[in-house]
Amino acid sequence: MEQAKRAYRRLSGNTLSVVGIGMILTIVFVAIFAPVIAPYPDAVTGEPHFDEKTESPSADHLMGTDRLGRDIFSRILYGARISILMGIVVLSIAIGIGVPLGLVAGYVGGWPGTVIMRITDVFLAVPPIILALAVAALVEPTLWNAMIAISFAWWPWYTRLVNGEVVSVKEEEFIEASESMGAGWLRVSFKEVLPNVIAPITVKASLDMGFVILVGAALSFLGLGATPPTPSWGAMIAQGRDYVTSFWWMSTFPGLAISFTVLGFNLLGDGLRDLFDVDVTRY
Amino acid sequence: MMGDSLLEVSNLHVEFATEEGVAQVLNGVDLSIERGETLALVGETGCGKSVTAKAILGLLSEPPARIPAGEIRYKGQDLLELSPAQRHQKRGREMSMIMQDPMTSLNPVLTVGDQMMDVLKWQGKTRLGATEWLRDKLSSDAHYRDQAIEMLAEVQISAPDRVFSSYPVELSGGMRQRVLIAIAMLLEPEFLVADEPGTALDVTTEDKILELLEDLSAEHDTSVLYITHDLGIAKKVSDHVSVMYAGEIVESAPTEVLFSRPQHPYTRGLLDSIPRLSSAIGSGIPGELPDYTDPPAACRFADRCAHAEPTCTEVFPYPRYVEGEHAVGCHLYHGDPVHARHVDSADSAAYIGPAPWASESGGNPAGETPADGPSTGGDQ
Amino acid sequence: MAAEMHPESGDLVSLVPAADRAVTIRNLRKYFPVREGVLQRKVADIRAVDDVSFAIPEGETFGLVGESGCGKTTAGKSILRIQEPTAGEVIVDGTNVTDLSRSELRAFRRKMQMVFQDPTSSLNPRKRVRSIITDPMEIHDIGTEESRRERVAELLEIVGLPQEYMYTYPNALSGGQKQRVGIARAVSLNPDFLVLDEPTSALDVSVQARIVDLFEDLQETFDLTYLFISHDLSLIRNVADWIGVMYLGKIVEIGRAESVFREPQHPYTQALLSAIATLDPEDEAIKPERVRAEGEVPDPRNKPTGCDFRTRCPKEFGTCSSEDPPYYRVGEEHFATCYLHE
Repeated sequence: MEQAKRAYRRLSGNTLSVVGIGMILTIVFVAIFAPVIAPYPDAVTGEPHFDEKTESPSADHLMGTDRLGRDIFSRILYGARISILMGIVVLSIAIGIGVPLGLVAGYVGGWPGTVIMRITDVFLAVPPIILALAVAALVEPTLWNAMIAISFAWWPWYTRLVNGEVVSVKEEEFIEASESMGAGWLRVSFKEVLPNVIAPITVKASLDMGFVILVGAALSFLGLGATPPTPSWGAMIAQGRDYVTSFWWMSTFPGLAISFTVLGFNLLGDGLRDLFDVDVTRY
Repeated sequence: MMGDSLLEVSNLHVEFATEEGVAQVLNGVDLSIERGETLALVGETGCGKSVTAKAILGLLSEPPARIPAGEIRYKGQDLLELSPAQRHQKRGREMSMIMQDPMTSLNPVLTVGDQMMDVLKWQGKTRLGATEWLRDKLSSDAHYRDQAIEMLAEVQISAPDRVFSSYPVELSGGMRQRVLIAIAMLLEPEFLVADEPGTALDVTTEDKILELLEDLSAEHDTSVLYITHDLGIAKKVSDHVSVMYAGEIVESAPTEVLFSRPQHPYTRGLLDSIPRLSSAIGSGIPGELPDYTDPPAACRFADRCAHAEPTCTEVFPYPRYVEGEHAVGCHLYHGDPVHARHVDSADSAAYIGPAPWASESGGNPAGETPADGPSTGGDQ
Repeated sequence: MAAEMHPESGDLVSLVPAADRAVTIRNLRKYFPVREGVLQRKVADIRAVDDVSFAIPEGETFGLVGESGCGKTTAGKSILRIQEPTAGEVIVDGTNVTDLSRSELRAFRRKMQMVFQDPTSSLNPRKRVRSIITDPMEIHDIGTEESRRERVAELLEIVGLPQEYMYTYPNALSGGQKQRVGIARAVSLNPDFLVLDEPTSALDVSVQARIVDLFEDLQETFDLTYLFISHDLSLIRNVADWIGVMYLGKIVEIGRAESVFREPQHPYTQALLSAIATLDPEDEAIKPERVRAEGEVPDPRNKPTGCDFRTRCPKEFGTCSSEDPPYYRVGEEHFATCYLHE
């Protein structure tokens, strides 16, 4: 409780992270309440309104309409759900796989550790987008498959991060104390080491959210991932790709939405990093 | 005592802005050091001795630190009135500091020689003009090098040339500490602050370092502020001792006097706790340091003191003379206030003495004045 | 009368009659390999603990003293098998600890525990005090949630901490308080033997005195046997019944505390004792005549031939470089390994 209070105070003092939190909360709010806020809920289902096609932004359509006459603003609001969902699912899988592997590799070391880290290295050698692309191309292009594909590329970063942290925490005296009491490796790595490693994981996860959303957008831009008429932001940019100079609103607004979201997570991540830095050096 | 002081700290208050509030760490610290004299500032963890040293040298970052009151007079001039640049200059040339941990105070990627030359050539300057830089590159460093090597020899390093070209990581702890001392003495400062220089070293090495410091300061007539938590060391190296607790000087006296007749309950508690070869260890001092963000109004030691009375929590126990230069901040004693600022609040009604040990001729169980001075005898 | 010789380090355990021994250490060694080259081949050994033997009577304290790098901490950890010894025998309460399998050892750990030097780093900063103290109980599956809680309350009282501290994090505590938590944890399963690795070195002297008091109370109440490791001779004088002085991995002098302190026989012990900065004239009088150890401690990889201390010994003479001196009996319950006592 004390720690939470202190964390809150410190975070709120940092303007940029407050801004970041605000931005994220906006996106989350939008994602949750999209059906309620969106002026044209049917813009998502894909019913074309050819009579309203490619209208520039106006009072009726805040962000204009696309080639099928669908309200872009509403599609962006619904698109937030996809982005957030993607972020959460991908990171959950990545962390769920990457962190335990990193813990074991770092704490147990020896042959298991070496094997795990070399496998990790192999995955890390491939750029995330390429890897995700490769996997996505092998399977049907659906949202879920896209998320799994990205997770494939993501977990090794956590393994490496955690492995590095564990190797240094391992040398702390309280770990030695735990071992001297007879604790086995499973207990020590999960109950003693892990709590001390959460901080960098949290920072990375919040910074990653933005990046994952970007990669997801890239995948759907390339046609792998969510199928139309799903309003994923990346796909929306793709649809407006050829009309950037004429019907600029079709690509611009989804692009801005992505930037806004990514920026929000980055600011939060930076704020969290500062928060944890101070925490560690204080004592 | 007042006349020839090289350094005189008066009523120094230092606060820190923390998350839990403003920590009033130093609560009116007074110190004075004469030319050529060594003053030991003794206190345990958290008492504020490092903060005091940093305040004197101008090394406190303000914020979060703040100096709401007090003076630090060096050769008559109040350092607190100087600009940061001016203080920086003074720090390089006239005042110097030896840090606690020789492992971390030396730059690991520069040789000892580089670091010493840095000090000799630039003497604390932070900015270098292009012409100066050029001139430096073109001129010879030979005489600086000689000076540095000479200094290394003076700190009893047996192969000064070799050490000059070594990296800190190649040297032992004792050697590194000697290097630190050499660097501190390079510009022949008149005032030296030594912050627990022996803590990171073995007893036998520490012993030699202490002797070295004593010899050096005697030879160069340097005044030394020696900060330590170890009373044994304080006794060995100093002419005067000031005992610090919770941001206040609770007792100060010439060294022999303090150790033969300690008066303040905290000083006595400390001495009692020190393990000895000939007698059993005492029982320590119960309790903990006060919360600096909410310090006691009067005596900061009262809640841990076996002899405290209600008046101790009401009237501030200002330092008063008990004999000669011996001053104590405790109501168990009466005497004239040491500082002018306390004269008005001097309240002899607050007296709760006499102290239970006042009947003894001395403060120790032995009750005798030791025959030796700060440097012990024996085979030299 | 010819000085009685005990050439074997292992014989030093005879200082304590077999029936009284709670802990017996025989010929303990811990070597660390030095590897060089691309293939990391072993070129030498760092003999951190080089044939150490002694015995501790039940309920008493053995003080292991030496400067940093002498191997005392490594010895302590090897004895508890926190680090695996390279060779030697450790017997605690009749059980040969060095022979136990990993799982047997795990169970046996209940009987022997360690109190660590740095109170700040020996407690997990992310766990509350209560959780830290119940760790041993959880690890060995002892008690229920309820009984553990009661035990924590009991332990907090035993070590002199207020009950509220159960829910605090270590960073809110002072050094002395943190160390009390470490002690509570160590005694939670009622061990018989405690290794105290410089338990007060990181504490202020006024706090140290109180922790020493606590250790004495606990020893008396629970009949604990202590191995007290320290570099502070004056402190050891106050807490130990027996003392072993270590230098470069070997015990150079061993015996009853009074005997070793009043009549140190090895030049190294004399150097250590004479270097103490004393406060009283009586302490000064007890100190041996000033002996200076010259130079610095040699690299453990390159120990001098013969007596390890000879390169720094002011009393060195011819025989010293021949081979390691044996242990000579220099007092009734007192041995030193120095040719001066031939």
